[in-house]
Amino acid sequence: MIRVESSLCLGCQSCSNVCPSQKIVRTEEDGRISISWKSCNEQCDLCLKACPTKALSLAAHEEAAPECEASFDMAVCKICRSRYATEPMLKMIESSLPSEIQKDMTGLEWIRVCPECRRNVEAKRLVGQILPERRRKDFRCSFLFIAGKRGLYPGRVQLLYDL
Amino acid sequence: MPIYIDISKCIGCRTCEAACQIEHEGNGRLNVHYVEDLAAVPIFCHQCEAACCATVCFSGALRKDGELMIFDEEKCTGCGLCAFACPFGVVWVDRFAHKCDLCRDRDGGPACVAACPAQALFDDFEEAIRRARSRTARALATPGGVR
Repeated sequence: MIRVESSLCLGCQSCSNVCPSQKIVRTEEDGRISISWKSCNEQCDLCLKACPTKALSLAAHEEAAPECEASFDMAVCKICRSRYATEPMLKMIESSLPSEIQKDMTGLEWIRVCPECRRNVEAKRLVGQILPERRRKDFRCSFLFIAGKRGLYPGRVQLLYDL
Repeated sequence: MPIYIDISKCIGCRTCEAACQIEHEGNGRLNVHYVEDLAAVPIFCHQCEAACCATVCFSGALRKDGELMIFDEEKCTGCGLCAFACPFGVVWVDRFAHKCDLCRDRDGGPACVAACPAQALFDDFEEAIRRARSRTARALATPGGVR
């Protein structure tokens, strides 16, 4: 029988991932995660070892004991508004980052952005150097294309376009 | 030693993504992103010195050993903390964490580098220096600008 300290639980996937008999079920719906620890009579403590915050403990098996449950609202990404992680998980990450990152000028707001948007931000930064030139080339290309289509651009371009 | 990208050469074909997925049984560790339909860039793990994913890992599955990042699948519980701690968003989690390990078990370097048809990716620092030299030389030769 597993007992859960729900104030410590992060809502992560550790225990449901390691449970060999699939007694811990984690469901996501409408931006809410609910975990239920079904009554379990196995002689194993894998979930206890896997728990990041030691929120789980073993207790004597009772038939009448109710199932433990916990549910969490998922945090909303500040850029794309999708739901991506539970609030306690983000709090845990904030507190366990090294102190020089915690005291950094930019603050810890970046944790409130989902991984997908973090990659997008990084892509925009990397591409920033070549983007102006690509835009210029794109404009010139579309100008030539339209000019060729309207027959305004006689000679070679017209010929190329007909090909 | 990370993977270097020559952004101006990337054609956005996503071959690196496919090569990574084939190499790691369907769990890709990189993602190609497109900006305004004009430029594409694959987002890679930067192999950070002070890696956030390693600091938040409580079970010791992801840890820094010298210059290399060690990932121990036995210890990983799949909690997902590392995925949300990575500032670049290049750690994926389902049951286990998936993070670029530069294809350590593969002969002949990372699969994405070998697969890139445009030679936009390379993992050789000498190559990075060589390209920087030739870029500078070209910039000197053309009055208009670089590339």
